Amino acid sequence: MSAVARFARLLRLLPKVADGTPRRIGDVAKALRVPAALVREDLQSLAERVEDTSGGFIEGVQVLLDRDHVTVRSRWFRRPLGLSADERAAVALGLAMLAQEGPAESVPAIQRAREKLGRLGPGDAAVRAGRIGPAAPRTAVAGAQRETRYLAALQQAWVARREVELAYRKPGARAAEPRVVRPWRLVSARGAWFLIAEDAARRAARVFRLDRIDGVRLRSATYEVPAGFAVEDVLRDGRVFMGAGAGTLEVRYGPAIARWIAEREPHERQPDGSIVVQYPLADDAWAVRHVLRYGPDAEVLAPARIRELVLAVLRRMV
Amino acid sequence: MPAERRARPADAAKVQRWLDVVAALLRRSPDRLTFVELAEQVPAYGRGLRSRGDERWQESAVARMWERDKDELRALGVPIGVYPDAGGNRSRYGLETHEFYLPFVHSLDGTPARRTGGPPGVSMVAFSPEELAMIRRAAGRAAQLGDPAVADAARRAMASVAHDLAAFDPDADHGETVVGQPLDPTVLRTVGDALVKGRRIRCRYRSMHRDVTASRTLEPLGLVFQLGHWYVVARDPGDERLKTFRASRMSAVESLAPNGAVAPPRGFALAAHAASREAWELGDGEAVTVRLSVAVHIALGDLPGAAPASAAVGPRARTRAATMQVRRLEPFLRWLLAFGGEVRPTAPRHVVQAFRDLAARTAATYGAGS
Repeated sequence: MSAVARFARLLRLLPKVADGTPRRIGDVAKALRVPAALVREDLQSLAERVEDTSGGFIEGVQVLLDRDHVTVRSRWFRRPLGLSADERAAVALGLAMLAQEGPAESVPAIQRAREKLGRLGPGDAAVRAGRIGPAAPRTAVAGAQRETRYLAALQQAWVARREVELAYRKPGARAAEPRVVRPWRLVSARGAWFLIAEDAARRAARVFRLDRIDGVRLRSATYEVPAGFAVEDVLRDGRVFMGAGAGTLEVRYGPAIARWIAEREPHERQPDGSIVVQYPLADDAWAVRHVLRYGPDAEVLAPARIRELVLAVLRRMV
Repeated sequence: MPAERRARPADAAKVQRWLDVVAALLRRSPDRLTFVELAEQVPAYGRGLRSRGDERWQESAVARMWERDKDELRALGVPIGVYPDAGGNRSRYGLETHEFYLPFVHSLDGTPARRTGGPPGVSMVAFSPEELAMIRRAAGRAAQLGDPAVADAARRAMASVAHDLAAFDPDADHGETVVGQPLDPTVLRTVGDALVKGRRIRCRYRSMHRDVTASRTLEPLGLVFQLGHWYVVARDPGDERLKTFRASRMSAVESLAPNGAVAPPRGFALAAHAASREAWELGDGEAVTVRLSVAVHIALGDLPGAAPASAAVGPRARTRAATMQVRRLEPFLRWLLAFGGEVRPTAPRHVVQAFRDLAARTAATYGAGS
């Protein structure tokens, strides 16, 4: 156990206990979300002073420790340390993501939050004077997804457990239709956002791509997310998928692009350097779009109806 | 007690010494202490001085220990200042309480502000409920990006913010899950550490275009998270050109010994460099203006960089016109192909023909005659 890790942990632990009130070690551990044995070891390390302290030394921290309880007195460690540069940078990174995603009306609040976050630790003067350091790594986010204009509204609906009415364009549909849904989870996977929600009319869970949502209206009705729902249940190979028995899409990717696809998909390699990948298939329109983006380097092998759909689309373009 | 958790006596002594140092400096703040004054309140230093004599303290082992301690405490975020004495010598040390302690955090939700456990010099920062919700959501988002150092820092930040806010749950679920691509966490940890220390890295990198994996030495300048992937912005030593490397294609990453600090070029702005560009926007070729016919139900916002090229669309119109700037035609046409004909080029003529040829070649893979 390194001194750095223990010291950093103590700076978080002491403000929670240093007011002289006896506390159960188990409760302290629970509040800090660390094992009780670790809390005991950290406190024990203070209770058993290694150095000779004869000569009028004033303890910065006094610790009384018995089997289950601890009492700590310290005038100097009753508040946490200000946020470090890496702590502020981590939260700022998340704020940058939210600012990119919008909506535009949330940006002022994000900017104010970022400015106030900066005041929760030593300022630029301390950095310039070398009083703290080193600075956090340079980290940025880029490439906001274009379909996130309703993400914040749906996240707020999830927090409030309020139903929403979506204007949703089904795959292949030219116009949006109203759908009343109960949001269970928002998932970002492979560069796209999805809403996992119960469709109120169908009384069944559905996956909605956020780039097909043309409008969101909050309703007054509330709901509960089913206790048995786990987001892992709708993730397969890092992709959001829901539905059973819909079939399998089999695609062959030519040698020119195979290694890029193989980097992210489980695949079967062919002697000519191409690969074959199988995907769960619940949306024919998605399958057509997916293979067309690779031009002649991708070919649907099965099912036959998707091959026909692809061919029909291509004939209209020639 | 498991062996890996047992504190070595040297580490236990160091922790106690650091707490003694911080307590001593805070106790005397805003006064600045000489090292001899500090040593009177830090037993580990005092013992060293007693054996060597105060006048020669700068030559002692304990003085070197203090220099190391000061650097390590600063790295942990303890803002120890060095100040001049009356003669201008930088021989006094101090901790400003307003720099050391977390400011009081107050929520403007109607609950009374709490000022617990801090001296009078500590300021207060008031957040609106909306701002706090943004901060918590941002921390949750950062914690899911796949970088364990960022995740740990975000969680620590939220635990601190929660100190004064009874109703603020730092672990509250925000309803969002970010599924990142699998990534060896040591890659980001090593690159992040090298960035902080201004060091070069050495790694094995798989070049997808050349389909080779080779050893590379790089000067990292930043980390970028983009659409589910981490990228390292870096340059080759001696080459000013900036390149972008996907972190998941790196392996055996190691931080190299200092060879002069790696510094970004003048005017370098990571966010601007990382700004997303589509494949057809890249390259040095002359940009071609391509005119498109776009089905009206497709928002122009879904076509990155598209500009409207016609007046307002009438209620019966089925398409509208737009233009886009294209440097590389092939990736652009493949991207258009995925719209299934709902977005198609109408000018210039060679682009229209190339689009048709691409559709024909693709159809030929399905056995259709051209």
